Amino acid sequence: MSRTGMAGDTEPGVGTATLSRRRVLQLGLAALPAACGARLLSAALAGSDADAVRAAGAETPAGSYDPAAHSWAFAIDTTTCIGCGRCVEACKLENHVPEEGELNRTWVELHVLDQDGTVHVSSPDGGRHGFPAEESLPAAAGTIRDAYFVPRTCMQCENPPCTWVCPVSATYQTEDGVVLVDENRCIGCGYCLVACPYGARYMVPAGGATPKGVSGIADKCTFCYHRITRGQLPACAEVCPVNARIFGDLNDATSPVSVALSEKRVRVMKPGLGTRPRVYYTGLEGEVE
Amino acid sequence: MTRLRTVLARLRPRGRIGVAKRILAGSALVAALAAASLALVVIVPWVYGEYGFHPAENARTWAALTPRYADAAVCQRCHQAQYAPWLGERHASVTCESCHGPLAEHAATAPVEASAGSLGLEKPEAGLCAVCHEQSPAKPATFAQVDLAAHYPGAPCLGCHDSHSADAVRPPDISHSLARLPECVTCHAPAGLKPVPVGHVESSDAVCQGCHKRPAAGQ
Repeated sequence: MSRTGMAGDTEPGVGTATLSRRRVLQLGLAALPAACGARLLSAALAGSDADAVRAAGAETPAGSYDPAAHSWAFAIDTTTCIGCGRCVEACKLENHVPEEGELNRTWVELHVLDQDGTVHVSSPDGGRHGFPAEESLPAAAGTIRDAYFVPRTCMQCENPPCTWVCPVSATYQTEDGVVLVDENRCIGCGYCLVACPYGARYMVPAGGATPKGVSGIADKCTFCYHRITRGQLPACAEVCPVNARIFGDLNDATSPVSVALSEKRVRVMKPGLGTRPRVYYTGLEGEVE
Repeated sequence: MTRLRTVLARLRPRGRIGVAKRILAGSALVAALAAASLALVVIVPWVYGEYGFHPAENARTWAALTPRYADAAVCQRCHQAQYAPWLGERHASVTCESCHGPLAEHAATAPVEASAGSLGLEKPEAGLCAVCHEQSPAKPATFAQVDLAAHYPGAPCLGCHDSHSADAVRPPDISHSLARLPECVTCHAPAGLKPVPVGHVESSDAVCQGCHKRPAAGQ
């Protein structure tokens, strides 16, 4: 394109440009209130969904729940766990977790240490039906140096890798410290499953149902968000027959979890990763990661 | 590049612009920015920002789900007879729903006038005791464990143990002579002359006499 060409185009060009600019501004000014109006209208119509949710919440104590006032945490005592798997069963039923044994929000592992230091980890059906001695301990029988159960769940990290990697911001952290998944946003890419250092997430299979009846998305422990916001314990802690799962509010110095953390020597899993888990363990051997 | 220069040249104002016009243009720009900001407040849903870029509305839908497990305090309202022996006993840390399963719906819908037990809810299965109490080196030494092969094999747990208090009653010894008598079940079948108590299973002599001691020889 030459300078002469540009000069030749200038005069008529300016006229059109000025007109169209004015036209655009006029349209824009007209569109602004229209957009605002549409937004208000959609808030009044579609926004009634949000109202419905709030109304549903208002019927329960959850309606008056203030997430900023709480900081939830678990203190799991591996020295009292008996591996009965009632927690796994309760979690499955409470949260409509798929029946498949390998898909769990919480599970129990049996760790058996040989005399030579080899660790055998097993978790048949996530430990849901307990650990019958003859099936769980055959290989190591007679040479066991130590054996114990390790209840596992989402660590609800304060610095959660799963939320960093989610490409659509479907997984997020609430003010009270729980990591949740927005089933409307999740595209089922599975990055969070890979990113989680604790293997705490699973993909809901086709036909499987999360509590919200959506498949093909990532699901995980919510600390039973619908229970804790009503002042109840998570289902796993509710049914644990030996109080191995101590749950509570770190903001309350008298809560069982605060007491447990102040009285017991605890550690978290994989502390070197800097994930800062909200699930603490008592009696965890160094080999457990 | 030349195309961009063309556009810029077109946009450049012709001739000099007065100070008043410049101030006017500046004010218009500020006003437009303010209007755009206001519009953003209206256009972007109010739920954004509470949890970073994520709409917090979703957390409220998680909180709004219905619990399926109630808790022991709820059970107590109707099942006082079971609650009293359970509380303060060895099984006190085992909540009702540990064995009986989720019962929030039952608690919410069971008629108040129904007597406890009348609704015929499913009872825990027989093997449940062993899930906790079967001997295992992985269980804490202080926890009550039994060797299933040695502790009255074949006998149902609840034949001797009360499920709520865990108290056990030793099986009574056989009080009559076994000389010239047929198999135990001849008389003690569930429909027999002197039937076995509820919770027992019809079984072989060896199983019966595994728990009930035979009378001394010669009797």
